[in-house]
Amino acid sequence: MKSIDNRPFQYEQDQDRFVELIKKYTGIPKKTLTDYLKEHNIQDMYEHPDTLNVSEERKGKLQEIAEIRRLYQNLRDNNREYKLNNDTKVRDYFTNYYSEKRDREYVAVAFLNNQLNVIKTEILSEGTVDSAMISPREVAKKALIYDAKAAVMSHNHPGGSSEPSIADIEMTKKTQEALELFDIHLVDHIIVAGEGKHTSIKGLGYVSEPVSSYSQNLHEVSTSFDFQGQDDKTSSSYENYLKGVLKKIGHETTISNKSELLHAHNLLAGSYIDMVYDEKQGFDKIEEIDLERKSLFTRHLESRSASLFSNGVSEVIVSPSAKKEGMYQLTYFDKYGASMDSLRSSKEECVRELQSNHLVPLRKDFAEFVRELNQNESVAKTLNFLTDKNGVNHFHKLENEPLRLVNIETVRQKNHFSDYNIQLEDKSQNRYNYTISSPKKRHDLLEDWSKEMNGYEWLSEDIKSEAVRRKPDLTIQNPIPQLSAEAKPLAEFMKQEKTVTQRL
Amino acid sequence: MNYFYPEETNIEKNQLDRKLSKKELISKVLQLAEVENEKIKELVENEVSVVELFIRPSKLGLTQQQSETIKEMKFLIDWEGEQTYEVDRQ
Repeated sequence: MKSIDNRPFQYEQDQDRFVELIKKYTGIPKKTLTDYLKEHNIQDMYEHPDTLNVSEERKGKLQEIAEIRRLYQNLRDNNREYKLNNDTKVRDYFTNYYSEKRDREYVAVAFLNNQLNVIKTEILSEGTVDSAMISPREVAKKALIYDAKAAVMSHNHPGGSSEPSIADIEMTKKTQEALELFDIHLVDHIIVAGEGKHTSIKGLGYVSEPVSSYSQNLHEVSTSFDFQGQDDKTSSSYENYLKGVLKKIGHETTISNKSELLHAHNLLAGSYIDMVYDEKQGFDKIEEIDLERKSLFTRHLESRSASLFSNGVSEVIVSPSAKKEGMYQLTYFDKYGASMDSLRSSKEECVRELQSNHLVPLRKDFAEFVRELNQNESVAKTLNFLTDKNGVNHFHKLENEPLRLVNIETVRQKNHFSDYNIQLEDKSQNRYNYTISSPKKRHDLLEDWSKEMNGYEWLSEDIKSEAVRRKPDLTIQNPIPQLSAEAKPLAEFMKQEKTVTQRL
Repeated sequence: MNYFYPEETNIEKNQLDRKLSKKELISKVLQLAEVENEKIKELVENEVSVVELFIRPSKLGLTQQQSETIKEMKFLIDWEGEQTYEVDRQ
């Protein structure tokens, strides 16, 4: 027999009971069963009763039990059978769950969908005969994995008493706080000590009722936006919810009219835009919330992002930050229009953040999105823009860095544009040669190219870049030009060109 | 994040199957516990839950002997040998 960890006692007791009961209901002798189970498992016995070498009558009785077992397992395996929408159902569910787990303490959590049906019940910890450890982080993590909207904690006390310890109550509170951050409601924490003995920690007053469902109410308010203020279905429960959350994060506020309700809603939805309700014009004025007010809500906004993910991110916009130069801003929107901003120092970090938040499955066009993000760099590489003499491309690091035009010479002129060999210099005085094609008139060119532009802006000046953007497969390999002795600083070049023009 | 539950596409059929399985299971367990046919019919029609049947059979108006048999049956169909003690992890 294989070893059963350090639990032989429970196992042997249970096997004895099992053999005894099979004998009682089928008449198969105990010795036959015990010997059989040394070589086979329970599954074999039920599925291949011929291997037991017993009479047809006994085999028939065993098959009856096997049929009941099959039906039971089919039902049990489909946990959605269980809807834990009231205290009795929660208690029964876990009493049943622990009925055969008496050897030690287990902590199991049932993760529920928004209809309070069980998505999955999982043992998150097993302990010694009188203790089991669990971390609120682990519960929250699993709840997010299962996309749960609610959870019921449970553990058993094999010792017999269903009284919760101080640690049990503390753990319940911490887990509730952790789950609340993600808008997941902890329904209860049940302690099962055996048939008929159980304690609900909620029943003892340590688990509070949810104020209301955030997503539902968010939807209600979003709907009222659509009505442009003509709809007056302001939800009082939502008002209470908002007040509750604002108070929790230390911000006392009054919500006495619809405008204030929307203001609070926008703050907590993670939006940095304040919608102002105007009696005549409806919800059409917007203004930015100042930074001081915004900082009050930072903690809550961070937690909102997780909720956005659980609602499903319907759109992500990545753009250069208007507030912090050189930074990128990721703005997530959920289906209700709630948004969450996140500042990152590079596009790569943006992509990493999206990937680490498992946004890939939510965005069908994610690959396209990543391509878009890296498109400028691909274009620059295709055109050898900001490529040094060793063939190393520096666009990525210079995309947002200022570059000034040092030298320029005309290569050729065509009907609508000219090619110029140019030399750009970065802040560290590294120089890069490039052949730029531009339809710009001379006076525009003097004005535009005499000031510093960043790598992206210089690339956009090159009309070839647009052609490559439109047709990424286009092959335009600019050689890295060697500027001739004719190359001049821009001002001199313009004079020279002017002279030439005048001569013409 | 619906990708966790692909089987939802056939949800109505699953629900129906479950209902039939549940009725069949309850009838068989009650028959094995030698509960009178009339009583079995009553419990099945009242859609008694499987959990209720196995956890508090005496509350369903069954005799002590019948309740005891049902609890024994619960143990028999639930016990899976060594597997019973394995922690349920994905």
